[in-house]
Amino acid sequence: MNSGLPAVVIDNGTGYTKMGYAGNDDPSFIIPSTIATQSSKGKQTAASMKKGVEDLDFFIGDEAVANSKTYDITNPIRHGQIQNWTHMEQYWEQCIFKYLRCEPEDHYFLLTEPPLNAPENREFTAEIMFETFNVPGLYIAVQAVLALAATWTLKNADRTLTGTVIDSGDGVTHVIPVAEGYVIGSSIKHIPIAGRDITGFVQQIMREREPNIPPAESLEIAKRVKEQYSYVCPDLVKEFAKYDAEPDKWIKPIQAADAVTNRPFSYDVGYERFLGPEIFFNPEIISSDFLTPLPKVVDDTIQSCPIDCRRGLYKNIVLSGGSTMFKDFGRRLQRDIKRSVDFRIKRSEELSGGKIKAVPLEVNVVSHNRQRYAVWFGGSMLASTPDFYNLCHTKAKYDEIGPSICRHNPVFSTA
Amino acid sequence: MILLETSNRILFDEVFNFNGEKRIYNIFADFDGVKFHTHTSEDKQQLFVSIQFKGAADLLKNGGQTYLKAVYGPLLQAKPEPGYDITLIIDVNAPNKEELAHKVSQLKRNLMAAPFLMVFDAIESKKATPEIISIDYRSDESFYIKTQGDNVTVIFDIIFKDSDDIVLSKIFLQAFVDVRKTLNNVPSVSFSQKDPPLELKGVRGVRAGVNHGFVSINLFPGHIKKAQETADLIQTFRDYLHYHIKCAKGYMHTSMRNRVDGLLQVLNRAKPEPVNTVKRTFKGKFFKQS
Repeated sequence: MNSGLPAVVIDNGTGYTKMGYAGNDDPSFIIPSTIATQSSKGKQTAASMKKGVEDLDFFIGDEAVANSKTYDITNPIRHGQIQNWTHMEQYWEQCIFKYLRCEPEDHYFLLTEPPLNAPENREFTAEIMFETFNVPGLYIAVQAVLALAATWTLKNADRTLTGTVIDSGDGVTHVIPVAEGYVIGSSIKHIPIAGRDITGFVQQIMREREPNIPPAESLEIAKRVKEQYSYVCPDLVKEFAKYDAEPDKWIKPIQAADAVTNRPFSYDVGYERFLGPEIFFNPEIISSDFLTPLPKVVDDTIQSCPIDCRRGLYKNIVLSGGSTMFKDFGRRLQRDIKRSVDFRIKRSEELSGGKIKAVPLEVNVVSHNRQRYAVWFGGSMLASTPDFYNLCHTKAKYDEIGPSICRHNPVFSTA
Repeated sequence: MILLETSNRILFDEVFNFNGEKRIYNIFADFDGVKFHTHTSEDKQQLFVSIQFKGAADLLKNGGQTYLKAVYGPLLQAKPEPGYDITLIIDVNAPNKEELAHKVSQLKRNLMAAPFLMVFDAIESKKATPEIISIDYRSDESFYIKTQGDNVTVIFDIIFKDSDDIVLSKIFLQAFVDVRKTLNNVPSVSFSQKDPPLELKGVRGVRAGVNHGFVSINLFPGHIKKAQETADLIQTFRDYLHYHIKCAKGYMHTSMRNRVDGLLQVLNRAKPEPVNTVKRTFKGKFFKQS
C-alpha cells in the first residue's frame, strides 16, 4: 500500500493554494489560486482552428499574475467551491508536475473541501484524480476538521475533533461548529467581514489623514500596516487615551520612496494599528447592515448547536486563516465570549431563584503560530499517520464501484 | 508547459533561503520515486541534502560518481546518511547562493544524466564503451543504453498501470514518427508492446509482459554533440510521456464537459412551459391563464 513516498497534501482555498508533502511542518508552496489561460475561457475551439498545444499554454499562481497582460486571469475557485472544472484540472496538473514534481501514480493524495460542499463536487474531484491522474488513493477532508487537528501538536492539547473553528481568510469569515469530526451544518454562520475589509478600512483612514502617500501605493501600504503593525486592543477608549498621552511611544513614523518617481515621502502609523482589527468586534465602524460582533456570532453559533456538545464547543475554539493572526486576537475573543456566557449563567441562576447552580463553563480560544496555513498543517499531520492509508479511497475501489465512493470520507479516529 | 523542468523547485527554495536561523527538517519527492531529505545540523550552520533513489547504485557505477564529483566537488560527502544514497552538505556562508541553489536543485538531473554523458563523451573521444548499460531505476522499470558505432540507442521499459494509457501512449508516440517527415535530424523512435526489441536480445534481467512497453530512441551523432541538452531531455522522457498522457486525458475531459453542457442546454430548451399558472397583474389582482 504505502510505497514509502510521502503523501501529497493540497489545500485549495479561494485566495491561496497551499501544497506540499505530508509530514513536513510548512507547505512547500503557497501560491494564488489563479490560472492564466489563453482567451478561449475553457471552451474548446474548433479542431481546425487549433495550432497544437493551446491546452498546455497556461500558468498558475504567481506566474499567472505575472502574465496577466497577455493571458486571461481567472479564479477556478469561488467561495471555497470549485466553479470551473476544466481550469481546476489544469491547475492540479501544473501543481503536480511543475511545482511538486511527483508522479501522481506513486503518491496518495489528501485534498480539502469547504464545509457544506455538495457531494457531487466530491465525485467530480474523484473523477479527475482517479481518471486523469491515476492516483492510488484519495481522501477529501473538510477544512474545518483539519484546522482542529492542527492544534493537536500544541502542548497539553487533548486530541479531540470537537470544537468551533473560526476561519477568516481574505473574503469571508466562517464560524463552524464541529462535533466528533462532523460539521454541524445547520449552525454554521458567516460574517461578511474579513481581511480585505480590514485592508480597505485601514486604507481609507490613512488616505484621509496622510496626504503624502501616493494613491498608487495606498493599497500596498495599507496591507503592510495591517500585516506588520496591527494588533487587537482590550479597550478602545483606553487605547485612544494611551496614544494621546504618549504619541511618541505608539505612533510610528515610516520613511518610504515612491516606486515610480523615487521621491521620498513619510507617513505615520497611528490609531489604525488597533482600529483595523477592531471591526471584528465593533462592525458598526465600517458596516451599516451587519452589526453583530464576532464574539456574539460565535456565542450564537454554539447556542444553536445540540445542547450536549456545547461544552466541548466552548472549550475548544480554534482560529484558522490569515486574518486571525493579529496579536491578542484570541485573548480578546476569549474574554468577550466568556463575559456573555457568564452573564447568561448568572441570569439563569437568578431566574431560578438560587435553586439551580450551574457547573462553571470553560471557554478557551486556542491560538498557535501556524494559523495562516492551519488547514494544510492539519492535513499534513493526518496524512503522515498510518491510519490515513486505511481511510483513503483506493483506485481499485474506484474502478470497482465508481466515483460515488468519495461522497463520504470517514472521520479520523482521535486516538 | 510542454517540457518538464529539470531542477527541483522545492530544493532550490530551500537552499536559496537557507540562512542558518531556522531549523529545517523536510522530506519531499521528485519524479521516478526519488525522495529528498533536507535538514540542518545541530548549530543550524550546515544544510544536509540527501537523496534516496532506487537507481542510484547503478547510476553511480556508470559515470555518476565521477560526474557528481566534478559538479559538486567538496559538497559531496563520501559517506551518505543512513537510508539515503547521496548526501551533500551546504555551509551557510557559501558564496553565490543563487548559482549554488540552482546547482543543488539539479541533483537528480545530474545523477540521471551521468551515464548518458559518459557514453556521449566516450563516443566523441572514440573510446571504448560498455556495449550495454542497464539501469534499474524504478521498482519495476529499467532503461538501457546501447552503443552501436557512433549511434546510441536508449531503450525505456515503461509500465502502464492503466490499460487506457497504453492506447494513448501509442497514439502519442506515433506523433514522433510523423514528425520525422517534416523535420531533419529527429531521433527515430519506435514502440513495442509486450516483447522487448531486438537490441535487448540476450540481455539478462529484461522484464516483459502485457503492461510493459518498450520505447527505443535512436540518437545520431548530431544529438551526441549537444550532450547536455540531449541528456536533459532524454532523462525526463518517461515522466514526459506520462505527463502528456495525463494532459491528453485532461484535454478529452474538457471536450466531454463542453459536450455535456451543450446537451444540457438542448434539454433545458425542450422543457414544456407550465400551463394553467396563476399570475398576478400589475395592480395586484390575480388572473388565471387558461
